[in-house]
Amino acid sequence: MVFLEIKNLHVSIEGKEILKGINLVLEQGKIHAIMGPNGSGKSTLSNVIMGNPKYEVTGGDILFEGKSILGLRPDERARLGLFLSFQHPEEIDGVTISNFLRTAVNSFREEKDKLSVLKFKNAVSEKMKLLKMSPGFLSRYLNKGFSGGEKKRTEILQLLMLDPKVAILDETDSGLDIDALKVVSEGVNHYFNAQTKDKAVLIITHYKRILDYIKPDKVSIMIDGKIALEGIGDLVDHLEEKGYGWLLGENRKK
Amino acid sequence: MKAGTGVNRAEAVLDELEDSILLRLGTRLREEDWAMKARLESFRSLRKTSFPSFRYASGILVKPNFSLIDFSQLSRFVPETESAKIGFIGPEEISVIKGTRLSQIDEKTISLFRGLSYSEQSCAGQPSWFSLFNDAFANSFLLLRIPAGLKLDRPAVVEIDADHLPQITNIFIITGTGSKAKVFIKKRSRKDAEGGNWYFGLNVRVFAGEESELRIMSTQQLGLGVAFFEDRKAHVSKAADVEWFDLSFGAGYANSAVLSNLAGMNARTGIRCLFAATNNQKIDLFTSAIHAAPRTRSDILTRGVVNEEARALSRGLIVMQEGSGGSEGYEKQDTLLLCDRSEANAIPELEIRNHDVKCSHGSTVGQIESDKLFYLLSRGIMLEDAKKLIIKGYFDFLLSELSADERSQATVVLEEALVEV
Ligand SMILES: Nc1ncnc2c1ncn2[C@@H]1O[C@H](COP(=O)(O)OP(=O)(O)OP(=O)(O)O)[C@@H](O)[C@H]1O
Ligand SMILES: [Mg+2]
Repeated sequence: MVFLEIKNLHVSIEGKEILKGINLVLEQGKIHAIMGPNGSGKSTLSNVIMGNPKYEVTGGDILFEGKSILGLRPDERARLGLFLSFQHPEEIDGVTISNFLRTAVNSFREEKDKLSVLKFKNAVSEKMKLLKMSPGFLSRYLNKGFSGGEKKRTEILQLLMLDPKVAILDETDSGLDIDALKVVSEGVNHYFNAQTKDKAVLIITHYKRILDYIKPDKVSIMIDGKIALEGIGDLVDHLEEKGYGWLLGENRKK
Repeated sequence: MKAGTGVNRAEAVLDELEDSILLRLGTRLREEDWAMKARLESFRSLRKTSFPSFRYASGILVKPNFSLIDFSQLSRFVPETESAKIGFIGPEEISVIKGTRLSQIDEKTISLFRGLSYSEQSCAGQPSWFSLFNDAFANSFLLLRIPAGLKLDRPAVVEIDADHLPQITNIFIITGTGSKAKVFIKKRSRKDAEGGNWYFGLNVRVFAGEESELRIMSTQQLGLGVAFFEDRKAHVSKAADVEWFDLSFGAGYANSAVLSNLAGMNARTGIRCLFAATNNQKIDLFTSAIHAAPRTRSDILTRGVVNEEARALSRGLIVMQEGSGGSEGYEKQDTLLLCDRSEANAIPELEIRNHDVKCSHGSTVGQIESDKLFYLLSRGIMLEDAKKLIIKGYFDFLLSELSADERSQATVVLEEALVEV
């Protein structure tokens, strides 16, 4: 089953075209990696999928389970089952993780099924253990003063709590130390649960390291707002060795 | 109620007000001579004071709709019975006088308050038109006296249910030397406050004795049909500490002033005002500290959110008088706009006549950041809930100063208010 289908997507910000005709298909049970040089448009793509109103879609379409989601608000997209782990998560002053996460989880539930504070605490503390986060985090303000790694861990905590159909991970590995990378990857794999194969992951990264833990079925290379190349795992090894230079050259020739 | 042309009409009606109206009111209330004289004094000052224009050095105008307040019906200001309009629950050690007549409180006490100057040199301390009006026409009174040396943990709770408007209340609080107390004033009315645009006036006067500590928490959850005029002043004696903590969420129009006069050496005050306004609500807030003695300290923080077509103005003033050497004053006013149609302004002012002081001020009027909002929405949270989270977050910083008990009460009030926002 196809979860997410991006068709000839063109996106601009402040009149400048960033995405120049992206095509991408993400199927249930698959892990799809996107790599590409800085500024090529990876975060733009993930924000547009999630519905950030800052970006203007000037052409093409984004389908979720066969239906266009371009007209939907970000919260509606989330409730359909989309999740974005942000490259740079926002700091929200005065709002504790606990209060925020409970509101988020309950926004997916009917009035009668809303989680009480106690039930929520039980559910969240289990996930926090998995991510080796100290319970103290719950009462801290969301991302406020968090280290880079703590922010990323908190993003994955949200992923585990909301348990969406599709997870888009925008450089979730950057800023993580070796141990944290392992914990966070295990968190993602726990969410993905290779046995049931009912989820899908779109993982954006610059490094091979995380792809050793979270094994992609497919790798796309984005250059200057377009998918320049698609391949499987060994493409990553090739890139590690040669960098983007050879691709950039090839791209220019076209 | 008849339509009219706002301020002009109110002025015209007030021009017609003769002493005789007040005298009739006094007779009906059976006020004693001294009390009648006190009321007349306020009334005469009122007539000499020009009616407020509500124009400050601010781009926005926050003005009540006077055409809907019927000042000509002053007879209605006199309660039919002595039925309690003010509820009081509190520690027995606090002496309480409650009633509908000024004469129920003794002349000596009232003259103590009348003798207090809340600042001779600054216009901030001058009685405003509305505070004089509230003094002249008050129809309910409360006096609380906290005996010297008494330290109370349990708060005294004052409840004003302004359902039978017009309500004009005067509250007097005296704290004895070395005492410690908390007073919690709850201002409420029915949501619909039928008829609309009722007048609710409240004057609070505090005399804080030497080395006493007083904390006044106050919640305002009046219906949108109420025009609320509140004037609060504290005389803070040597080494005394008066803390004001306000949560204001109701009233179609709220004009609220709070001033601490730091009259004795080492006196201190804290002023915290949280407000939220939505729909067509209008808020005019004035917070002030007058440093009249050496080594006094003030700390003023106001924080509000404004949604829909609401307007809010927060004015702050710290005055360092000649004799305020070694004092420190701080004021900050923050407002968050939740909507393109909302308007807000903050005017922090300083008046410094002694240069051996530390003083700082600041203000911000900000908009909800779209990236932060997007972050919350991307987690499935609906726009209204996301706004509420951000509002609560915006207030959290001030609420965290409260004790656990106060905080849970404040949270209840806030949650109720957020249903509307
Ligand atoms: N608000 C904006 N105004 C103008 N240009 C923008 C804005 N936001 C993004 N861009 C531009 O869009 C391009 C793509 O940015 P994007 O963040 O999508 O890149 P990326 O592939 O995620 O890069 P990185 O690997 O560094 O995260 C960049 O050139 C960036 O400068
Ligand atoms: Mg990026």
